[in-house]
Amino acid sequence: MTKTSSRNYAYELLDELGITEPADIDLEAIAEHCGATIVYEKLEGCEARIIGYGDRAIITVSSDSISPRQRFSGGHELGHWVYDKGKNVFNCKEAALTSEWFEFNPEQRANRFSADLLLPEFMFIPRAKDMPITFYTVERLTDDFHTSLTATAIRLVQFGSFPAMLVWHNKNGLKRFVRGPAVSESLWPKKSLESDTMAIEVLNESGKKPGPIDVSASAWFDHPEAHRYVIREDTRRITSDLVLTILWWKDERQLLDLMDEEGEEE
Amino acid sequence: MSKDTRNYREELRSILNSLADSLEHASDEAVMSELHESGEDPELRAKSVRTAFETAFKRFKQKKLKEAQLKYKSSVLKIRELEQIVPQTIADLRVSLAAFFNTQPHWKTQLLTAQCREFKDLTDTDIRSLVKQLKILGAWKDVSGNCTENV
Repeated sequence: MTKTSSRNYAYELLDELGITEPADIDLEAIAEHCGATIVYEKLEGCEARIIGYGDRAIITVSSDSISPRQRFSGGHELGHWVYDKGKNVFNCKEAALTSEWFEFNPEQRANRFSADLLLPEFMFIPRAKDMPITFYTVERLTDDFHTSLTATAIRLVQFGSFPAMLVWHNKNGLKRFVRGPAVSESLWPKKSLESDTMAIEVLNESGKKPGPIDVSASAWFDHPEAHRYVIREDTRRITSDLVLTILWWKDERQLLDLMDEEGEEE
Repeated sequence: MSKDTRNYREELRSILNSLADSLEHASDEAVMSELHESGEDPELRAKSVRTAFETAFKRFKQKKLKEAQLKYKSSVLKIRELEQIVPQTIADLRVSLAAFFNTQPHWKTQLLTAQCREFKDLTDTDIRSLVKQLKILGAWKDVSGNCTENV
């Protein structure tokens, strides 16, 4: 089996094992097929670890983590094994598992591999088709795929049927964001949260009822015409200091107008 | 012919092959008419045959997956059995691990770089777990020079 992109390699593995349904994505068996045995133990200072020697490896996943996180961590370590075999040891801290999606390094590649293995595009797209881009849909999909809220939300923004963006904030402001493929690259979320967003209420735990809600696009974007449009916002707290927001252009006029503007400029 | 010498499996295969040939060469009308005569719903029958084929196909495609599932259970059992091979005290394990690192310095660099801490800072849990897994994988040669078998 040639190791091309993480997606191709993960899909080749799924195909080789005859896996076509989310319920059949048995991570322990997939890892074993690759020569790595997954065990669950108490770990200090890291979420998961892999020790490999020759053609065998042991992946240790923290027994204290919740099951979807354990699956993602196990998939991540398996990514190291299939790509970085021969380097013997990797310990992966939680930060690497949550933040390093967007840089090209072994951690990023392992994250991508895990997402491709546990949330494969060819299974995900039909299940996300025409579904609202909200946490309600994300939660339904996490039930199907048995994956974490964050990993599933990223997938929904990437492969859902409608334009959307995923944004992380903590008390210091914007941490990072992911644009869906239909969202203009001229749109950048504001660095700090505005008072009329739901996200600030969730971050400050002010007890407001959960969304989704419609807000002015100007609450999220600095674009001069943003006040003319409405977007749908849905926010969830994912750690004690981090909230995750889905922004969904249910009404796509802002994006269409932006496309027209960009077309005229060219 | 005595009962002992009959090949029942071959006879059954031959009957089934004949039935399959007969069906293959029958016209659609003849098959439908036979189904109606027997009182069966062709849609239901087609659905059940399709499901049977899909199930058989999936079982065939997932042969390696099933093998891996069985192998995983057996690997975990072996790991649990071999866990009993680390009976020393934590102090002894630290000494043994230091000796291991001295003979295999590349492991020290990799383990401790990944762990982002000094050897002396490794917790008791880390030490026990690392030694155990190095032994299980066969990478560990303890002070007496014994190397445990691979999983």
